[in-house]
Amino acid sequence: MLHTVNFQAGSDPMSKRAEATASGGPRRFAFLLLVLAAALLAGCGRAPVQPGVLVDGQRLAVVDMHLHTGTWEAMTPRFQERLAERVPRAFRWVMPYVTPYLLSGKAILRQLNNAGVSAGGVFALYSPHSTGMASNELVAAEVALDPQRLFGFASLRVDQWSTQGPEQLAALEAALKGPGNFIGVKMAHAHQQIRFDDERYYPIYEIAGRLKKPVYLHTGTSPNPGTRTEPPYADPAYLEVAIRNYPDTIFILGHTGYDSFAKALTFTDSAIRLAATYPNVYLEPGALGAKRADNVRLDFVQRVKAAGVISKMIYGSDGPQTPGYVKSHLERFVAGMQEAGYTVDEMRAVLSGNFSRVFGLPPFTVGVSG
Amino acid sequence: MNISALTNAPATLLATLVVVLGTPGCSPEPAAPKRSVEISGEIRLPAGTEVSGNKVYVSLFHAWALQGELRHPLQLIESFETAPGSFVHQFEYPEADGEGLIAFAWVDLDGDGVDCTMTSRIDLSGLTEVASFPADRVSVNIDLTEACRGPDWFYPPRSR
Repeated sequence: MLHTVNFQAGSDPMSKRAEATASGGPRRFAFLLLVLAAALLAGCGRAPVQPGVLVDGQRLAVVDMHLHTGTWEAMTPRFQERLAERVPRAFRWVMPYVTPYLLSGKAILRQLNNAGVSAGGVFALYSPHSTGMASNELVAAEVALDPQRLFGFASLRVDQWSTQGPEQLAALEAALKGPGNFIGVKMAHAHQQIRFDDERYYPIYEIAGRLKKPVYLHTGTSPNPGTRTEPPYADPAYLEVAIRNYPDTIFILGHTGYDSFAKALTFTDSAIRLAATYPNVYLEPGALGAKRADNVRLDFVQRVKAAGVISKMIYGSDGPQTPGYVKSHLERFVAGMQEAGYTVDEMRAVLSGNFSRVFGLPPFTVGVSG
Repeated sequence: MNISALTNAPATLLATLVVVLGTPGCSPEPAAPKRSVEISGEIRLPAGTEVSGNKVYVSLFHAWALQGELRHPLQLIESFETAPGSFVHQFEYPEADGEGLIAFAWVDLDGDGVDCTMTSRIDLSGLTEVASFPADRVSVNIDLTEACRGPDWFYPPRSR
């Protein structure tokens, strides 16, 4: 059985222009907001989209397993400030109104369409120290917009573990067993300010293994405020005991240890070593296709290839972030793989095949409908 | 009819939009209130622990921050280095960002600059909530007793 996604003609005609504009500075971004709003209100024309990416004459399906939803109200004030820095101060008051056009399920689908991406994983977040909340309930509602293309990753609060741990574990298990189209678990130790080597959190991995829901864990650092950058919170080497103790649990090391704060591959070799050593460890390259990672991307894909772990890398972008980001991340990452000499079959595996295999889903193929 | 006015209509409209939409955000943001606080006290290790030359890393936190679903413990204020024994430190406490004061510390017994690695797990940590706060001067004793633990291991306490 193949998982063929028929793209509705939903390309966002503003995205390419928007991305170019956004990279041009805050004033241009403000202009983008006005233009974007006008375009959405006007319902201006939509162009057909070619699904997948074209590599050596073959069109490959793409799944982006790392996407975020959220609401302005559930973001922390510091994260709101960080987002608002992209807009001239006089226009920051528009951010609550603009956020749904960037982070809602509809907005995610628009970006997927624009990038030719067949499907995506949408993450719940419980990070009150750093970025804020995107509850399991919110994620379930957003992925319900198109459950053939959007898959949820459930999460849980850990900030009051000594007093709330059992009830949080129960809530996570209920979400994973419920009707919310959750295919995995999302954790972000650096954002949630918990150590990788703290065994009090191992029951999360037990639940994930028992329910056969892979666990995605943010590894490496982040430029977001309130994120820990020390090795016990960022270096996946501190997960090794858990990885050994829970062989039935699949650990997907998000960002492959990319030290985004320092723009360096500080913890990448740790992640690659774990993926090469343990059959239950996989890698995800989120944010390594961003412009911010231009200085390390080629080195990164070369390291993955040299270590023989291409079969364990599952593509994700960490979008949608800004208009056009999902597409530009994909284009840069594919270009990096090509430059590093990945074969078409290897790229097919990274872009969707490994995802389908790990999550037990039918292979994705590309198809176009009017 | 003035042709040039018609030609410039979009620009005029855009300029008007910029002025109208931009005006609400032009007032300066007020500075967040801060209280200057001196924290002093004793950082204590188990008897017999060799401490010569070892650094202690101290982090100060709000006990609780934000409201509603975002309310959470242990919001970092700042960190500094000291040594085992007595210490004094001056800092600015951001009053609007949370309430309470917690001091967490760990001692770098193996001298590698990291609070435990997977092969060296001897660094000790501890945490104390400052009882008499808010105040301009506070005193705390921090007992470093647990190996390889972050502040969330200690707080909120289990009995809470």
